[in-house]
Amino acid sequence: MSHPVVASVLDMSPTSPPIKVLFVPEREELCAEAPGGRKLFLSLSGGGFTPLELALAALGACACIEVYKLLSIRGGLVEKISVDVVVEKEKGENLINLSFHIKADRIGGKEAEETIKHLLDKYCSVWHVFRQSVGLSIAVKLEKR
Amino acid sequence: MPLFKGWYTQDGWRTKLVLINQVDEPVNVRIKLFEGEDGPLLASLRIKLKPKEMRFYNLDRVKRVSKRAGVILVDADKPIFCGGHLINLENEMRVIDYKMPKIDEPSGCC
Repeated sequence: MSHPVVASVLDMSPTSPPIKVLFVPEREELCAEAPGGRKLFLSLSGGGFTPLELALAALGACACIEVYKLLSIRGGLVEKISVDVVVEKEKGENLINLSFHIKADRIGGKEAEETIKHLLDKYCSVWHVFRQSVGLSIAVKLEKR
Repeated sequence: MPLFKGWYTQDGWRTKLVLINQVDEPVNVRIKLFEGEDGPLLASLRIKLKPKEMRFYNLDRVKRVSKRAGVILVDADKPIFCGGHLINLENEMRVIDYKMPKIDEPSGCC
């Protein structure tokens, strides 16, 4: 069972392409551009996503796709997956809670839980980036107005 | 977590699963038996293999798959060998042995 939207997402490159983000304070708008000219606009004044919400949405989206694939190859017939992504502060550290709601046949609750717990870390690349400590290098180039 | 896919039949045949633990640690194995290719899940079993244990699991023990045939999925948390041994009930000299192929795990989405 393959969904066309899922199939198109799965065709993406496994490497991490550079994302360029442009912010013009006057317009209260952010624009993120991926290779190939694909653009995403974030409005800071309207009712759009905040950058953090967008990051959590990316995590949830990646997790849903991976869970769908992992359950499907185990014979599950998945009709719907949703995930609540919640960030909590615990003892000064951020804790990300992923709470899955899955509508599927031919798969047990215990099996789904075990599969997700054991394999999500291995396959969800967004979760992987969130979990791993990422080396950060910063370069600043200032242009006078 | 290796995942294997095979075929069983208890309809005129008897199927025995051949499970061999390839490591020096206990292995948790889940076996799922479906009706046909796309039918419902008939039974889900959990087995724990001891280190290097080789076990023959006779599907006669699973009443829910009596007179049924279909796909079998075997999910293990460590490396195992997984095979099927089918015996024809009318002529027990007729047997089929096969090794279950491993299903490739999916690659990351992005």
